[in-house]
Amino acid sequence: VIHTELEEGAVLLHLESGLYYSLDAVGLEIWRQIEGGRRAEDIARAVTERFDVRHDAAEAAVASFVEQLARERLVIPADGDLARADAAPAGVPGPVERKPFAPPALIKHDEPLHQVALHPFDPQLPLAE
Amino acid sequence: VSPLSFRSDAAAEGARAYGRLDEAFRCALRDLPDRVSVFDYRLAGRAVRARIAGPALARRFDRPFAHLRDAHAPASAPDLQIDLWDEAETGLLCQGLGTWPDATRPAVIEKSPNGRWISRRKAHTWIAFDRHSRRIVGWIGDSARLSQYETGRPLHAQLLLWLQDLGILALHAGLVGRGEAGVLLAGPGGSGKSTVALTCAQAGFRYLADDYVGVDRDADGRCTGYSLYGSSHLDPAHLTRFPHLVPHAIPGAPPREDKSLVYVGDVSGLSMASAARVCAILLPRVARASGTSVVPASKIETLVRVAPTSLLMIPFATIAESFRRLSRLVEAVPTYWLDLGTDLQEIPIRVADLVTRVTQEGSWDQSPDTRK
Repeated sequence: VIHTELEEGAVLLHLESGLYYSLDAVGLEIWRQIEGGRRAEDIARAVTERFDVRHDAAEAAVASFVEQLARERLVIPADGDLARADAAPAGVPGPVERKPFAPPALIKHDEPLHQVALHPFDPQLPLAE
Repeated sequence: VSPLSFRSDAAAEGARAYGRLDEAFRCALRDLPDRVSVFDYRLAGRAVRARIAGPALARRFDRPFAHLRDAHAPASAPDLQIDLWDEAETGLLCQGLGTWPDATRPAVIEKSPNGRWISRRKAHTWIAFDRHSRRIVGWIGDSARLSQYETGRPLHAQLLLWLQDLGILALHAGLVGRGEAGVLLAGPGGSGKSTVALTCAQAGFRYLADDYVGVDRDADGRCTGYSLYGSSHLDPAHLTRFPHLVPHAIPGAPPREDKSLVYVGDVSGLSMASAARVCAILLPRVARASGTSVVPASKIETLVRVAPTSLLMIPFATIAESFRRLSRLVEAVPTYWLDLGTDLQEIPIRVADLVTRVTQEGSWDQSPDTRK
């Protein structure tokens, strides 16, 4: 899975399925923390620091969001031992002002790349013919 | 541009095909020098030289590239050399060649394991590309038998690969220009890319593409869009909306060719360009309203609209790299929905307003390289 960060969030491309997903700002924050190998409780703490949300609500949102990501095979939950609990959550230090919170959204875009892309040297796909 | 480096692999399949075609083309140069036409083009800002043996093939090859002709031959070796010959016109054969009886048979691809040489064989064409020396050499059995797509977009597969090797993003998108500014038109088939490109061209914009473009981003983040072909493949029903194009439309041979081919340069009153500085990405979509309007599109909306339908999967390119390049492009320029109304005349007015607005903003400055 590769991702690109944009001003309002991020877009993920699942290279195997060719499907795109978009994330909002809260979703992107969780994604970054997952990339940093953080445990769920650390991710929730990072979300609480950056967004205007209570810790228990952030925990529930993170759990639900991670479950969604796993369902789409965008992440594979690691064993507890592998997750990093030793380091502080990654990213910039907590901002002075927390941003408004909305439950993170993962939107699946159902037009997969491989159905529309051209592959000029694939003998099974005559080019534009 | 520094050449790509490859391990030695001269005995591999793709390399042998290249060698055979190269040898035959040298015979054409030696034995039929007066039947070889030479064209110089500026394609994607690079010098391209084509040597075509066979006058009819030369005419067919040149038509979609005519707007890219370069009056000045490159002082040094071109960035791409294209050498083709037509067997029917020259009588020149080479070992292993011959037209397949089944024109619909899928292409046979041979490539050397290192990816340097790639050949693509079809019923009546065999084209090999050496990515290291940047040379395409190929046999055409009879140019009169080329499909509409083969004549409208010559060497499409090879040129997309060449662009990718140069680090230029190849997109399935349209592009029109006004002054030095260009507007990319992106989105799925049927969203209105051709409609916008052609109505804008009719209203005085310069036409660059309604199908395929190359986009390069320089170190300062400026994006230049390049025209690849001056041809448009239009659905006959769609064509009726452009009466001035109808006399120039070359019908396809159904059932495989369901579109009509128009060489835009043939249409009087339409002007073309080879390059334009991209000042905005427009996402046309059919609206239910009568009027056309332009509304901002978020970067996420733009990327998920453009990427699935515009990003071309080209072998040897990691799709990840193309995706990142496209993301940087989307970030670098303003992005808008273009809600298309039923009044075609209004479309270029709205696009022109947008270009004026965007280019008057401080972030856009004149590009030094938008030569025709």
